[in-house]
Amino acid sequence: MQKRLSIEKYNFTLYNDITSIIFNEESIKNKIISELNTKDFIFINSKTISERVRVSDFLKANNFDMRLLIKFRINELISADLSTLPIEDQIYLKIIVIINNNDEKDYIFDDVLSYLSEDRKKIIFKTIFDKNLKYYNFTSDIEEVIYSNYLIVLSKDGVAIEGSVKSVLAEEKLLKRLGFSLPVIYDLSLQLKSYGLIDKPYVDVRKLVNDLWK
Amino acid sequence: MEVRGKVFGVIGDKYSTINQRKEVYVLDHINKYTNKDKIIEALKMVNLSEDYLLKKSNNLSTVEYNKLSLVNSLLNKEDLIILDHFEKGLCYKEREYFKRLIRKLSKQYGIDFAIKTNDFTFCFDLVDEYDIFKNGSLIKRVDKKDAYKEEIYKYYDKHQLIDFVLLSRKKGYLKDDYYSVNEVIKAVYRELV
Repeated sequence: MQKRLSIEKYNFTLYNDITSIIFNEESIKNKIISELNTKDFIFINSKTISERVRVSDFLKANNFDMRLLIKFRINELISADLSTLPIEDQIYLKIIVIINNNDEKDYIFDDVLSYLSEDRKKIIFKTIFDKNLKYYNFTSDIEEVIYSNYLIVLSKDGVAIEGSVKSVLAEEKLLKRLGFSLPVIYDLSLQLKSYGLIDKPYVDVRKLVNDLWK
Repeated sequence: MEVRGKVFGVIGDKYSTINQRKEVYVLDHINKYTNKDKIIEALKMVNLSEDYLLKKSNNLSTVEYNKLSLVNSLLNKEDLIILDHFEKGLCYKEREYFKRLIRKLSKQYGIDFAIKTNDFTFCFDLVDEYDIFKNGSLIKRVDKKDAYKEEIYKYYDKHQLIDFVLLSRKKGYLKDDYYSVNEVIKAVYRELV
C-alpha cells in the first residue's frame, strides 16, 4: 500500500516499506498523526492504562489467546495489577493485544517503541511481519531508525529529507543543523571513517567491530 | 532515602522500582499554587508557555505531561524527583537541555533525581551513581564508573558504546572503560595508528 500525504507543508509518501519518521518538535508529529485516516491504520501511542485490572483479565477481555503467554514472554505478569506495572510493561501488553487482534491494517507507532527492550521489539516486529503487515514509526529517538529501511525527516519547514536510512544519515551536516543527533554507532563509525580507519559507516555495532579490528 | 543532591539511575528487576506518584490531574495541582510568578518561572524552565495553565490535564501529550509533572515537583519543593522515562518524546536538543537542567537543579538546590529509563544513552553521562532495587528495596548502590559491569548494563538496552567496547575487548582491544564517542575515537586511534 502506498499512501500520499499532504498535510499543510508536509508532503510525503508512505511507501510499502518499514519507515521511520523523525521530527525535531513534538507538535509536528502530533499535527501529522492527527490528520492520518484512522480507517487506514492502527494507531499505537504511549498512553498507559489507568484502570485497575489484572493482566490476565485484561488479556482475556481483549480476546488474547492465553496459549501465547510464553511466546510473548508475559506469563510472569499475568497475576499483576495492570495499572501498577512499569510503563514499559503496560505499553508492551497494550501492543501485543492490538497486534494479535489485527490482521489487516498497517500500524502507526506514535513515539512508543523506544519504551521497549530490544527483545520485545523483535517479538512485536516478527508478529507484524508474519501477518504481512508493516509499520510506520514516528519517533523522536534517532536510534530507532536502524529498524527501518526508509527514513523521512520532518522539521518546522516541512520534509527536510527522505530516502533510504543510509542515504539520509549520510546527510550528517543537514541533520545536525536541524537539531538531530546521529545513532551512536553510526556517529562513531563516521568519525572512524574520517580518520581513514574504516571505509564506510555502520549502524550495526558487530559489523563495525568486525571491520575495524580485522 | 537521605537527600544527597545527586542524580542516580534507578535499575532493578522488572517489577521493582521505587514508587512514583502519578499526578493524573497535574494541571489542577499546579493551578492551586498562589505564586503565579513562580509557576511561570517553572514553566519556562521546562520550555512551556503560560498558555498551558489553561489546558486540560487529559489533553496533554506524554511530553507535556512529563514536563508539567516536573513543574509540579519543583513547585512542591520535593527533595526527590522521580523521572520515569522522562526523555521519551524529547528531541535531541531538548534531551541535552534537560540533562543540563537536571544537573543544575541537583547541584544548586540539592535535589535528588531518580532516573528510570531503559535508555542508557540518556543517563550514561548524567547520573552520579546507580541504585539497584529488588522488590521495592534498595539493595546496592554503585558508582557511575561501574557502568561497564554486567550488574549495571544488563538492565539497559541501549548501550551501544559499551557494546562496542566490550566486543572490541573480545578481539583484544580497548582495555579501559570509555564514556563518550570522543574517548573511544582517541583510544581506537592509539591502538591502530
